[in-house]
Amino acid sequence: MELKESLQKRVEEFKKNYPVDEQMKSRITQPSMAFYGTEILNRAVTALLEGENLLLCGDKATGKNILAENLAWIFGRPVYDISFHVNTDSSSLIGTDTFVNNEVKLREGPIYQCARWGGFGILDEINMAKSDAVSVLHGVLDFRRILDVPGYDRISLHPAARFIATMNYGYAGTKELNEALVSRFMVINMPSLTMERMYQILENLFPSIRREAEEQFAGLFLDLQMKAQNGEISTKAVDMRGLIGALRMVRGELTPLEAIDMGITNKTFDAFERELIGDLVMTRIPETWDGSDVFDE
Amino acid sequence: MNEKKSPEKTLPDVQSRIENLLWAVSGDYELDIPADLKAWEKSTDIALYEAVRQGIFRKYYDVEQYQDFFAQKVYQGMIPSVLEALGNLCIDSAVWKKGVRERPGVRNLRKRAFQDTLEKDALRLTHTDWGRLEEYYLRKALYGERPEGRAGRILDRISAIEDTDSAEEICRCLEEVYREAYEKGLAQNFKGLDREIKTSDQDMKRYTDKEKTREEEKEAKEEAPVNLFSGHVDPQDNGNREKPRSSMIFLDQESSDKMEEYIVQSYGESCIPARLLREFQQQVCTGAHKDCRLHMTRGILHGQGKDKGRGEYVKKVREENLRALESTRLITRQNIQTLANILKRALLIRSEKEMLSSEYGRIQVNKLWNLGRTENRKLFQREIRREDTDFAVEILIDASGSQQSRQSQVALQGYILSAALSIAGIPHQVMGFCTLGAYTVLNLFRDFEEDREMDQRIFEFYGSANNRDGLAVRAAAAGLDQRKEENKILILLSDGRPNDIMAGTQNPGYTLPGAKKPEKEPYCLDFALRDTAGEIRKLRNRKIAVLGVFAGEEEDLAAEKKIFGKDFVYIRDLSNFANVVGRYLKKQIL
Repeated sequence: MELKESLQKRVEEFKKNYPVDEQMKSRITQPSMAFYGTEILNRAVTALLEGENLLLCGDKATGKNILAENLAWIFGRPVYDISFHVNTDSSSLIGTDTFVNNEVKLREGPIYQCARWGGFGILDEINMAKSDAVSVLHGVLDFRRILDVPGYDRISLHPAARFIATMNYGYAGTKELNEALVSRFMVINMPSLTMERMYQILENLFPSIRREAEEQFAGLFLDLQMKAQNGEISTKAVDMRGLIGALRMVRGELTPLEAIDMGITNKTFDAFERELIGDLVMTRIPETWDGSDVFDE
Repeated sequence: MNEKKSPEKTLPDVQSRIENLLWAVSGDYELDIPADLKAWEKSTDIALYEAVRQGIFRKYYDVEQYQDFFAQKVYQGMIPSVLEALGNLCIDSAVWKKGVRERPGVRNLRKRAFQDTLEKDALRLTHTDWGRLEEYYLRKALYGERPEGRAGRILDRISAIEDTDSAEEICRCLEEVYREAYEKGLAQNFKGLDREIKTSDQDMKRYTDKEKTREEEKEAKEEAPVNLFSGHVDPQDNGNREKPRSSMIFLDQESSDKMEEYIVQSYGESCIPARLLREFQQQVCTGAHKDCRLHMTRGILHGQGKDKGRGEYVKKVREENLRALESTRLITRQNIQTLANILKRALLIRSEKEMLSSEYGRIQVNKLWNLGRTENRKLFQREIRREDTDFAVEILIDASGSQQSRQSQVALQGYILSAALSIAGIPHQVMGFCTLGAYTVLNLFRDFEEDREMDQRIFEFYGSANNRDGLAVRAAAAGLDQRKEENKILILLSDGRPNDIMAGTQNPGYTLPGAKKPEKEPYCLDFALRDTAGEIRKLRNRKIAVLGVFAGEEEDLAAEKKIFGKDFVYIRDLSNFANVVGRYLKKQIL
């Protein structure tokens, strides 16, 4: 993960100009994993420095959320995770009434807090947002940078506040985002995972992993990714978290085959799909393997 | 994990599993190998290992070069079955190390496959000389036993190509092994070959164009083109022969040229502009449906259909269908009402608001007395609203010849669905499809935007010609994709028997043994089943729900199950139609 020097300098300046309030410091969190993809990182940082919001599009397991977390970390901003589902409405985003010390007060929603404290709001699966929620986003995301809280104030966004949206897009049939919303973002298409990237990730997480095992685990993942892209299986088994979880369990002394079964194969509930995945696993991971074949002691 | 085979495994599943492994190993999703069901029955591992072997072979070597060599040698007089058996040993020798390097699990798979072969193929292995050689090869791979004498020398030669990267070397090895082991011994006994066997120092003879033409002529005679307009071809046959024949009927040039005109005359003029149709075609007619055409029409009675005879026929069918409606009016009405009620109720539940007490939200004055008196802090009310997401439904009906005998039943089922959806206010489209020649005719009975009166159009439904289900499903899905509604449902009324054995003019090129057939496969039996099932699976991956309504003979139920998995219904008795279909639709809506 390397940032261009000039950008690094500007980021430092940004951090100096907008110090984070003491009580919000707990929200600055180190990402679980580094993002590997220098070019994309440079592009994203540049956009954020220029005051733009970002939309990260890509298939499952392309590292959208990892990139978002990393960006917040680089800029040293508090993070607000906002995931969109059917019940996300304007009041849950902005805030609504509650009692504090026998007084009716505003219970601040994540967008409100983000706007007030200059945080980075990660809008997860923004394409699932319903119209009610989208209407809140419009004013926040465009040049007006204002948030109207019904019954309370109309606040201006903190100059360091940014929004990074993610959406699953790739396999046919995913819901599209409406034009007005897209136009408020700079869009980055996340490339699919490659073998090299997989190596970087796995080695970073599991420094003691053996090269041969690494090849097979990474290869299995890419095999599955390709199968999903060709529409032969669903994306359920193309699961990076599952793969990493499986490797952890191998470290915890499950056999690689058992671990893959739990982490990958059983993620799909279609019996036939499980067979297809099972065939692939069988060619990649020998039954005779155990933990010592995967990790150096 | 790698579960042992279950006895009821069927060909499409096996085929699909083997193909998937081949694709994954070779990295090329366009490849095609026929599944060997016999090997599968013997042992799953044998079949799976074969797929891996083929996959690696295709990944690392120029397969065409090998196939050319093979054809050439067969032409020069080598015996195909022997050459094939020996070739497999050479290929295995060349690929197995690469396979194991790339995928370590292959080592065990190979071992199991070899053990199973030794055990279950014992008869074949002891029956012939080359079988014996294979046995030696397997034993050597498994237990490291090296036989003495000639067999040992041959095995050494085969092992020598373990690290080669060129297909040429495999060919050379195969040729040497063949000559060393069998040529002289076998030549006298073999009577089927009338050509003289060339000696090895003679130049390899190229397969000349002239000979190729001769072969083609021979083939052409076997598959003589049919002129649709002169003789009698029964398009309603629908593959329903005594013995299913998996070959194609080719149309001659004249028929092909007249086809478009004929289609317009007998099914009605196109209802979408030519440019749109072309784009639509380009989008949909790919893969197995390359070279197919689409024709979208509102039916011969609407617009300027020219074939009077056919027009009269359709009118008559309509009357017949309406009579069927008349005679079952009560049941039909009940069905429509029941289904509509189920749908309406489901939609209502969906849009219902849920209110709950909460610590934040809208203040509730009547609870404020709690303040300072009790610990209850839930003085607010929060409203959880299920989003009113909307639906679009496509009803696709198989209008092929096989439906002719039950066309009024099918029309009624379509009508019940369509009318109930209209009452519930769900936008839906009703379309029939059949295929004649290269053309798949999509007869649009009712469009999404149209109102209730159009539901009656379905009574113009009649069965004719063939059906290319995969293509029709694809076309319907493309239409659904353009709808803005969030949830999409496709209901397919079919008989589980996709069949289109008539193709456009195509040159049935000569195929070499072992080579991939250049021509289009006839769209029937397992190939068609697989294609249709694949399309349905793709739709489900795209979150379009698919329901199969089976309208066919009981004997085809198994096929229907293959296509739709568990989401299909079999209607034995119309009176229960609404409940059965309603249950499924309700599940989708809630």
